[in-house]
Amino acid sequence: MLKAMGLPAAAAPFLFGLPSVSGATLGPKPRRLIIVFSANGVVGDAMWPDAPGPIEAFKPILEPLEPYRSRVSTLRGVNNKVRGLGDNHMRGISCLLTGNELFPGNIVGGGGTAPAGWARSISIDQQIKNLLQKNEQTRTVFGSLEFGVAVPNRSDTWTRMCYAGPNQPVAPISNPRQMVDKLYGETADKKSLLSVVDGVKDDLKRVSGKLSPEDRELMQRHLELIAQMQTQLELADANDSRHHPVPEVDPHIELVNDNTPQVSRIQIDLLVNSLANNMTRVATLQYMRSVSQARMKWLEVEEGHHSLSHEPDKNQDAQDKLIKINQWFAGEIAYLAKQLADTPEPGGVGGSMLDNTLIVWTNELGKGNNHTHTDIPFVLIGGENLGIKQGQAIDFKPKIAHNRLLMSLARAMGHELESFGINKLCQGGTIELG
Amino acid sequence: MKNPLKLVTVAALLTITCVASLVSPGSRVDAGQGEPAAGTADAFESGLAIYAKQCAVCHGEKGEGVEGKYEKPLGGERTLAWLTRRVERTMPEADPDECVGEDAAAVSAYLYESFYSPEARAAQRRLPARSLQRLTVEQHRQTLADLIASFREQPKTTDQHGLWVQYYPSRGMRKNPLAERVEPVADAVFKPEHPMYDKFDKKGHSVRWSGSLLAPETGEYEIIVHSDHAIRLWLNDGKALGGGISNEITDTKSVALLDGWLQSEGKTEFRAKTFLLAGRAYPIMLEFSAHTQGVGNKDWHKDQAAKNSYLSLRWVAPGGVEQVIPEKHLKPQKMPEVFIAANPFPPDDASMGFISGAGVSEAWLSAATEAAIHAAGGVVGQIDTLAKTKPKSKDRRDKIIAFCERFVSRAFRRPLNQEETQRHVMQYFSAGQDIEQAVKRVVLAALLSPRFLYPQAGVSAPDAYDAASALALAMWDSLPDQALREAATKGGLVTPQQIEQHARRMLKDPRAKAKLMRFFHHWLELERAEYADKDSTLFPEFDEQLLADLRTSLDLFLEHTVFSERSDYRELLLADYLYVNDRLAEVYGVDRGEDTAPGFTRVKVPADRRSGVITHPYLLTAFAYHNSTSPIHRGVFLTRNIIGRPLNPPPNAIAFEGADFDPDLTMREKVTAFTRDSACMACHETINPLGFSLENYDSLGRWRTRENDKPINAESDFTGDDGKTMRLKGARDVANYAIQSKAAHRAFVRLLFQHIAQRDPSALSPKTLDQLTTHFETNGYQIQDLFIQIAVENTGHRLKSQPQDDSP
Repeated sequence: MLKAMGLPAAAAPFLFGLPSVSGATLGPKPRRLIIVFSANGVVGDAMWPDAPGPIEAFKPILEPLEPYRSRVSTLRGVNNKVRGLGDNHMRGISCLLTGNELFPGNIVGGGGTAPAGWARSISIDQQIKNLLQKNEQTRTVFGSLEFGVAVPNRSDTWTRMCYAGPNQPVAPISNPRQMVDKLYGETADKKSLLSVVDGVKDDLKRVSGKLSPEDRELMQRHLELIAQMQTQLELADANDSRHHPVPEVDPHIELVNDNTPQVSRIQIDLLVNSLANNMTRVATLQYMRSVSQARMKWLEVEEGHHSLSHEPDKNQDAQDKLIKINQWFAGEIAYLAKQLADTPEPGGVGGSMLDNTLIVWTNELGKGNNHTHTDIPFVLIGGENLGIKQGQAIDFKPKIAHNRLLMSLARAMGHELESFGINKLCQGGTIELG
Repeated sequence: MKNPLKLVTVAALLTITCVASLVSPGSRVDAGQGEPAAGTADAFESGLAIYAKQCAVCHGEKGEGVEGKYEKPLGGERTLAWLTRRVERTMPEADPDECVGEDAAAVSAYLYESFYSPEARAAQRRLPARSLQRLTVEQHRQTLADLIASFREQPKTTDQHGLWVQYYPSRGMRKNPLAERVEPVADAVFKPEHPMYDKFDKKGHSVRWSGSLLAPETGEYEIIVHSDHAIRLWLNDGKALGGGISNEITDTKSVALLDGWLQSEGKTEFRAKTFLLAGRAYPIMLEFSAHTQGVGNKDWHKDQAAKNSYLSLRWVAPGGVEQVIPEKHLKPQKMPEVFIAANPFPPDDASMGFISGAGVSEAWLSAATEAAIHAAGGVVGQIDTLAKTKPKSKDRRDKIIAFCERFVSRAFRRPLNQEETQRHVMQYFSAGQDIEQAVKRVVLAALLSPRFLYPQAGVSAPDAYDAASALALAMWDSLPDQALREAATKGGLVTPQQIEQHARRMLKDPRAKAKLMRFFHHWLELERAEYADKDSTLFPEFDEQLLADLRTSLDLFLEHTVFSERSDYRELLLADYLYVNDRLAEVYGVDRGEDTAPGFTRVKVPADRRSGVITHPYLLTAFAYHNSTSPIHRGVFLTRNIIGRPLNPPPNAIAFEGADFDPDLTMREKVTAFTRDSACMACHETINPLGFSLENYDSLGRWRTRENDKPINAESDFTGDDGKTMRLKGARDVANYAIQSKAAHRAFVRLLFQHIAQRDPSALSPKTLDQLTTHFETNGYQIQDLFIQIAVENTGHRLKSQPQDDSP
């Protein structure tokens, strides 16, 4: 189900004297960042608070986040000002975290736009990852994890948000089994090994009895090596410094549209788990793709999401459904926030994980039916220890390029960037989130 | 010269070491000295008497050595003639005149036959009841591949080469193809001259190539596609090839090895490395669409007209350079995917002069464990396919248990009894146990069991299953196939004739061919050639491309000589032809005559200029310095591998430095001066004449008649195995000597035996080597036949040696 048998996984030394998978003990107050993506824009009137300043009440889309209202800020007036090749959906997702144009290529989008290829430069999550990985204090096993939910299994400018560099899209992992394998596969393998090792020893002894003295010596040597491996496996098992056990994942969950809500929760559980175990400090959670046509039957919405987003504002039924869809995303983010808020920060430093984890919910478009890159939604949750002042509705006037926000995220994670993406869109530098 | 570091490596590799030690206690390389003089009983008695009187005091009663005197056991690889001369001149040490003439001959014959010769030593050694070996790395990988493959449908293979090509008129591949046919390679430019061009849609067209890729060697391959339009390529991926590839963008359930469907920034080259096992076919599919992709917008297509669009499917095979994947490595037939354990293993023990599965180490167990985990993951991932069931079938559990029983039985190469089934399979399927988890444990436990890792472990009495296992290892480095398993069950693997029949059948399999080719690469020490580099001022013709062409040329030569009907060892040494392409023809001055065919063709060359494999320019290039020939390297190679005389590793290494000599001297003069010392000459009296016989070939293996404005002298006197002196005039004389030399034949048979069986023939019996050599000599020096005889002998021997008292 997971990997093609023919092509092997990256070869890495497996046993003997290797440190266990999970990270070392956490230093005080790690900084973490989660970027959540959803598609097709939002319904502005049902999204943005009435006035800047402290948020007194949420509009419908954000209602699921009500328990965390004092820990949520909305940023309005942030535009994706990147132009160039590709249609707005392509640039909406592929320039969202890079702040840079697309390369020329062979992918033709809608609206008579010129064909385009991949993003020209690294995305902010990968940039932050690289910075964190350079420092021993902030280095983790994976550096970053890219989670997907119902991302179609194809690779193009509409499906990729993260880039490790020019022309280097990073595929999100949408299959929870694959993610479990990536996160805990080695641990599971070691457990399986431990469970058969006594049988192997038994075999060696049985076989040994029938052999000449010389050959028996060889079996004895083999037995000693097996015993040594067993000791090391047991030691690794006992010393496992992970704070949180591997979540149970239904191995048979089918990756079909109708299972999206269950897959979403599993992925969120795995995400929180991987952060709690310090396997990464940067994560992305990508719902579907730009131009997503997900049919959210679990919300009793039969139409495809993208088609609905093209309906005119006056189509109230479509507006209601779009609100419902975005409420669902907000609900998933509320679940993510809750898991983080309910988990004490590991290492006994006090507080919850949400205090040290900034969630950013964003979108490819401001609004679906005009494909605008104006007022790209950015909602920040938690992460107060990163210097974020929450509970605020912010409305940038004049509107700012989103490159400046990307730089601000890097700063919140402890790194000052002189610019990010297109230089001239960085004028003015980082913005105040504190 | 592109890489100075590489040069250093070459220099280091080519350091000449002087061989001074003559007697070689414990040396394992064959002597092959011809037959000892048939001593009469009387002579033997007198030899014994002389030995007891004059020799035993220092050498011990049976040549075992005496503490404080001569401590090393007497034993070696030299000829009786040599030994006699040695005794005559130097023994006993106190007064060499005391033992000369007939006495020297008698005592030499006695000690040669009693304990000096390899056969005598082999006979003296107590043959161990059984000497257990683990799988070699190659066997391990091949066995895992076949173990899993045995649960897939294996189509009957055809000999057809090339790829299946389907042309589509437009960008998608949904409609019926315009044309479908087999083409030799995937290397096309779609210009107006292309036969399909007029039928293509003006906005663009698409093409799919499919079939299988044949890997001639085990190692890392780089797969490359050059194209200016959308491409994607799957290799060894059953899911991609099981159908369901859609036409829109890259919508597929599997991950392409190369994905250039989305082209970005004019990227036209796509490369990926992958590890493949020799002798196997891997499913491959390449899709190409000369068209823009995406949601489509008519306006753009005009500018994207696919005129002159191109595609080229290429590779870098191990030791090669980038080239279009040749027709002979492609098949239009889609084969099932192959399981590959590509994780690194420590190298096998080669201390005996051949690869064997002797000894275990931490690194080996770690690698074996990693391979087992990888295999277990692979089996679990495809359990429903392999067990021929479905995720929701009612009898899924039963089918999976049945699969596990067969899996373990095949891994252990024999049926399981009830108790074994319980222990190796059923105990993991306890109630409530997750099925996938159980499968994983069964597979892991089986693949880590000594009964898998040591093919002969757990064999209480050699029987037909053991024979099947031994034969499969000998012929394929792998597991018994279905036919062998059935034969073992039905008593069809008892007589040598039955075993031979299977061996002949198995010889036709590409795995047997790969194994035999691997032997020749080992015999000719080709690993040395991969590091060859030349002075670019002296040899501007030399580059990696030339080296790769030479390798191809030699492989073609070997395939032609070894895999022809004749398969004649003598042709290998005497052939008067070379395989050349245009480049080689030019560099080596070979006249291709009327032949203008592209690629390599077989061309006759003057018989006084070339003589088979020993004058192949690839070898001559490898056995040479970067700026000159090396008669010593060439001579050592000919001595050991071609005429079958062993040489010992030197106790003191002295590097030959060409620059230390007067530059006006010829190479021959330098080497002669360098090895003048009598201690050197003990070995160099053999090495030098052989090495000098190749002085007509320069550092690139080109024919030459002068060096430093002096004529080349390739002639020398040479002492044969019989002690007689002869005149060697050049390479062909060496080849002629070898094909008439019993010692040469014995050395060849022994090396092939060791390669096939991972042990020395003396492990079977002291006579085995002689018997096989005689068979070889009296049956037309047939290499393939020798392969079979060795495999049969090594297999049948187990049945013959079955202890009678070991009844259950």
